[in-house]
Amino acid sequence: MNSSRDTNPFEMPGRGLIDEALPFLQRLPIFSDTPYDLLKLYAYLAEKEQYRKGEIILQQGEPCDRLMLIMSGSVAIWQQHRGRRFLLQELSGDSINYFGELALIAEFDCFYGATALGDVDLLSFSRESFHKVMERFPGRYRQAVDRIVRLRIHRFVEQTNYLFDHLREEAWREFVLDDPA
Amino acid sequence: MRVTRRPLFYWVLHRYRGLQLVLFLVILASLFFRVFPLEMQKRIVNQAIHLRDQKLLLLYCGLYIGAVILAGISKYCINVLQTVIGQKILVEMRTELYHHILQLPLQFYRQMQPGTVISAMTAELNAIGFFLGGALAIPVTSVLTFFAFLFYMFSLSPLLAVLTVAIYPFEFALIPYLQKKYNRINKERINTTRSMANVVNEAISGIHEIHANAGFGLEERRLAGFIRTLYGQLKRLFIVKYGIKFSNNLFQSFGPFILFLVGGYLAISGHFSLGALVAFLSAYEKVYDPWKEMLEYYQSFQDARVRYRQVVRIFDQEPPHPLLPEGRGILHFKGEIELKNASFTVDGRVRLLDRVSLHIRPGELVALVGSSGSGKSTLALCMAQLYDLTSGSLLIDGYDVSWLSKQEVSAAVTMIAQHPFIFTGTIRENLLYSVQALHREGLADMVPRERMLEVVYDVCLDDDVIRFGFQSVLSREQLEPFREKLLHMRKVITTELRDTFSEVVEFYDVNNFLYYSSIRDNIVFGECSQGQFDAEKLPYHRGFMHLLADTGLDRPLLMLGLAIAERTVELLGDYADDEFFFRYTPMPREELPLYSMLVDELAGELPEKGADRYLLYVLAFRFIPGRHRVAAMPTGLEERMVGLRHRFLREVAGVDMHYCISRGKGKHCLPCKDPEEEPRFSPFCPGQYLYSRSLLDNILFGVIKSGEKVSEKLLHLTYSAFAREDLLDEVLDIGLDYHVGSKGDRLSGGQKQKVAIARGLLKETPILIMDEATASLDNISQARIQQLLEERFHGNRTVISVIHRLDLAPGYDRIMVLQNGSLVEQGTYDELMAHRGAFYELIQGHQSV
Repeated sequence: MNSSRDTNPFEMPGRGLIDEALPFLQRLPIFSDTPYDLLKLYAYLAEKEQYRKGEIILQQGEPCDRLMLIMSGSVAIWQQHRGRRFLLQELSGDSINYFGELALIAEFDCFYGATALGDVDLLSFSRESFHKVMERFPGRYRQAVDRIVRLRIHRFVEQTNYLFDHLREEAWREFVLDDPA
Repeated sequence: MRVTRRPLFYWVLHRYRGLQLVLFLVILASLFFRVFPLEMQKRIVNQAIHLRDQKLLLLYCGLYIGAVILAGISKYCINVLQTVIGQKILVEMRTELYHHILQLPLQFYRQMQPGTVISAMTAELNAIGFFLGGALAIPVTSVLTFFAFLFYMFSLSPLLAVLTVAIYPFEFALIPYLQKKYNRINKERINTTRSMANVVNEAISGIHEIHANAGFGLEERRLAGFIRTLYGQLKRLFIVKYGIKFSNNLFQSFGPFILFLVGGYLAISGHFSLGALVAFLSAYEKVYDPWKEMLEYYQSFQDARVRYRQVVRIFDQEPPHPLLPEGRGILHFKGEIELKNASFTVDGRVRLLDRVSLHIRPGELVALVGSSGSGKSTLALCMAQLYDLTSGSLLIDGYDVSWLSKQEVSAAVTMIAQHPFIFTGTIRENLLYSVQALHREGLADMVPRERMLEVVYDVCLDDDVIRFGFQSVLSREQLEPFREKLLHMRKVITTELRDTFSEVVEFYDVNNFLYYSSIRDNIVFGECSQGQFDAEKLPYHRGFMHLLADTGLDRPLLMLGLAIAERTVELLGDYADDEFFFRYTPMPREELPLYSMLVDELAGELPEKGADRYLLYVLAFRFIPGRHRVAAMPTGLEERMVGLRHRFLREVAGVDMHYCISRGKGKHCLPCKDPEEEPRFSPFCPGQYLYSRSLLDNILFGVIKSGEKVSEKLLHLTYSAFAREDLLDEVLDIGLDYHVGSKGDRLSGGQKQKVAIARGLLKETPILIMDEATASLDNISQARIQQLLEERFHGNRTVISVIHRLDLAPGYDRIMVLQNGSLVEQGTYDELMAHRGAFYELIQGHQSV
C-alpha cells in the first residue's frame, strides 16, 4: 500500500539517545528492578556529556546536581586538601561505573572533584528529573534512597581502604589502635 | 490655605472664573430660547388658527422651530462647557492633592493602607469631578429657568399658577429628610468600599503567602464580611434613592390633575382662552424640569460633599518640611553631623532612640553596629530626615535638620536602604532617578556616559548589565549606532574565534545541516516579519509544499512527524500535567490529547487526510534533532535538506545566497532592491542583522547548543571576545536600557541593591548613609564596594554604614555601638577590641555563630 511506511529503510526515523542510553541505565544498580517503561522515561530525560582528556567534569566546592554514568573512557575522582589533589578512585566505563549518585537525593556542594583521564562520554541524570519522576512514585523513592545510601557506604569503604593501602609504615603506627592479628 | 482644609466650593469659586462667566451668559441666552416657543404655541392657536391666517401660521411655526433649535444648541454648549470646567478643576485638585500626599511623613504611610490612598485619588475624585463642572451653572440655570417659566405662567393666569406650585412646599420638607438618610448610608458605603479595597490589595500583595498556606478560605471569609455589609448598605441606599424618585414623580403628576380640573372649567366658562391653556400646559411641563434638576443637583451635591470630606480628611496633615527654603537661599553642606540628646518615640510609648549624642566629622567613615532592634536603622533614617526626632536635635553643618527644606537635605544626604525600591522602567531610568529628582530637569545628558558606566563598574553591576545587553532584542533605532560594530564582532567570532566558539555554538552556514535548529529553520534558513514561514503556516504555503513534493522530502517528513507523535504519546501519555517532561519533544503539552487521538486513529499508517497530514508536518517542522531526543533524524536526510534549503531560498523566498556562499565576498543577499525598505524576509546571512533575535544570538550567528540556557562558559567566552575588541562598554550601554519589570521584579535581590547603590552614588552628595545596603550582595561585590568606601570616599564624603557583618568593621574610622536605642560605645576597631565592652561581646557572639 502506498501509505505503508516501511518501504525505504533510509527514511525511517531512529530512536537516538534513548536507545543508546537504555542498556546503560538497565545495568545501573539504582535502577535495577525498575519497570521498562519507567526506564525508557529515564533514558529520555538523560543528557549526554562529552569531555576531552584533562577536562574537569566536577569541581570540588561547586553545586552537585546530577548523577553521572560513564559510557566510555575513564575518570579520576579526587579530593583537594591543603592545596593538593589526592586521587581517591579511578573509574572506567568498562564495568558499571558512575558517580554523583548522592546528588539525586540531596542538595550539596561537591566534596570531591572529577577529571577526564581520556576522552570521556557520560550520561548524566539530573536531580530535578529524578524528583519529577519520583513525585509520582513515592514508594519507589524510599527504595531508591535506601539503595543510594548503601552504594555510598560501599564506595566510602572502598575509598578508605584504598587510602589505608597507600599509607606508609610510619603512618600506620599513628593510626592503628591494636592489631587483631 | 492647606489643600485638605479647603471646602468643596473653594475649588469652584477660585478656578476658571472667566469660563464660568461664559457659561453663565450662554445659560441666560438659552433661557430666552426656551420660553419663546411657548409664546409661539399660544399665538399659533389663538391667532393663526383662530383667524385662519396661513401666513401667520407659517411665520409663527418658523419662529417656533428656530427657537427650539437654538435652545438645543445652547443646551449642548452648556453641557460641553460644564464638563470642560469640571475636568479642568479636577486636574488641579488631583495635582495639588497628590503633591500634598507625597510630602506627608513616612509615619503617615506606616498607618495608611495603599488601597485607601489609591481609591481616594482615583474613583472617589472622579465622582466629584462630574459634580464640579455644574456646581455653579446647574443651580443658576435651574433657578432662573424655574422663575422664567413661573413668571410666564403668572402672566397667563395667576390663579392657575398659584394652584400648581402650591404642592412644592411639601417636597421641601420631605426630600431633605430622605437625603440626609441617603448621605449617612453613603458615608458608610465609602468606608466599606475602602476596607474592601484594602483587603483585596493585601491579598494580591501577599498572594505568595496565600498560595503557600492555601489560605484561600481565610481570605475569602475576610472579604465575605465586607461584601455582605456592602450589600446591606447598597440595598438601603437604593431604597432611599428610589423613595426620593417616587415622591418626585407623585408630586409631578398632581400638577396636570389640578390644571385640567380648574383650567378646563375656566376654559369652558370662557374665562381662559384655549391657546393660553395649551401654553400653560407646556409651561407646567417645563417648569418641572428645572425643579427636578435642582433636586438632583441637591442629591449630587450632598454625595460629592460627603466623598470630598472623606477624601481630604484622611490626608489632613501638614507636611513636616517645606520643599524649598522659605525666605532664604539654598544652603550647601560639607557633611558634618551632630546629634544632641536625640530621641525617637513611636506611638508615644515605644522609645526607639534614647538621648543619643554624637558628632561625625566631614569625610569620616563611621559604622553603626548593634544587635537587631538596637535602633541603628532608625538612627540612619532620622539622619536622612526620613523620620523626625521626637525630642533633641540633629544638626548638619550646624543647621537643625527640622528647619531645613527637603531639597537641601536631599542634596546633602543620600540614603541607600537595605530593601530598596526599584521603579518600573529601565535600569538607566532607575539610575538617573535621584539625579533627576535633585535637578528637577533634563534627562540623561546631565550624567555623562563615562560617569554612568564608571558607577556601574564601581558597584559590580557590569556583569549583570552586560548579560542584559546580550539578551536585548534591539529595534532598528536602537541598533543603528552599534550596527557596524556588532556585525564586526560577529565576523570576529565566526572567523577568528570560530574554533573556540564552535564547542558551544552551532554557526549558521548555508551549506551545512544544523542539528540544533529546527527542521523549519533548516529549510527556510531565515526569518519573515509576517510570519508566513512559521512552522504552523508552512503546510499551507503552496509554493513551499510543491517544492517539498518535488524534492521527495514530503514522505520522510510525514514519517518523522508520525514517529514523534507516536513516541511522545507512548512516553509521556501519563505525564501531560507537567511541562517539565516536554522539554525534549517538539509537541507542546497542551497538544498531547489531540495527537493522542491522531495516533489511535492512524494505527501506524501515514494519513491521507489533509488535516492529519498538517498535524504531522507541524511536528516535523518544529523538530530540533540535537535537542528533541524523542526521535532521531533518519540517516542521510541532512544533505537532502540542505539541497531543499537552497531551492527554497532561490525559488520561494527569492534570495540570492551568493554572498553567504562566498563567505562575504560577493554582493549582499537581500531580496528587495530598495535599501530603505524593510525586508520582509531576512536570511541567515553574515551581513544581515536578525531583528527578532537577541544581541547575543546575532553576535554568535548560530544556535547555542545547550538550548535555552546560556552557559557560564559561553558568557565567559563572549565576554572576553568583546573585551578583546573593546566593545564591552557598548553592550553595557545597551544593557542599561533593560526593562526591570514591575517594581524591578525581573531583578534579583542583589541586582536591586546594586542598582540602588549606583543610583545613590550618582547623586554625589557629601553625606552617604547605607543601611545594610550590601547585605544581599555576593562576597566579591561586597568587598569591592567596601574598598570603594575606604579608598575613594575616605576624606571626601561622610559615610555612615549600618553594618551587620562585623568583619567589615575594621575598615571604618570609627564604630558606634547601639544598644536598646542608646549609644553605648564608640571608637576605632582596635580601641573597642581592647576595651572589651559591648563591641567585643558582639564580635564574640558573631564568631560563635
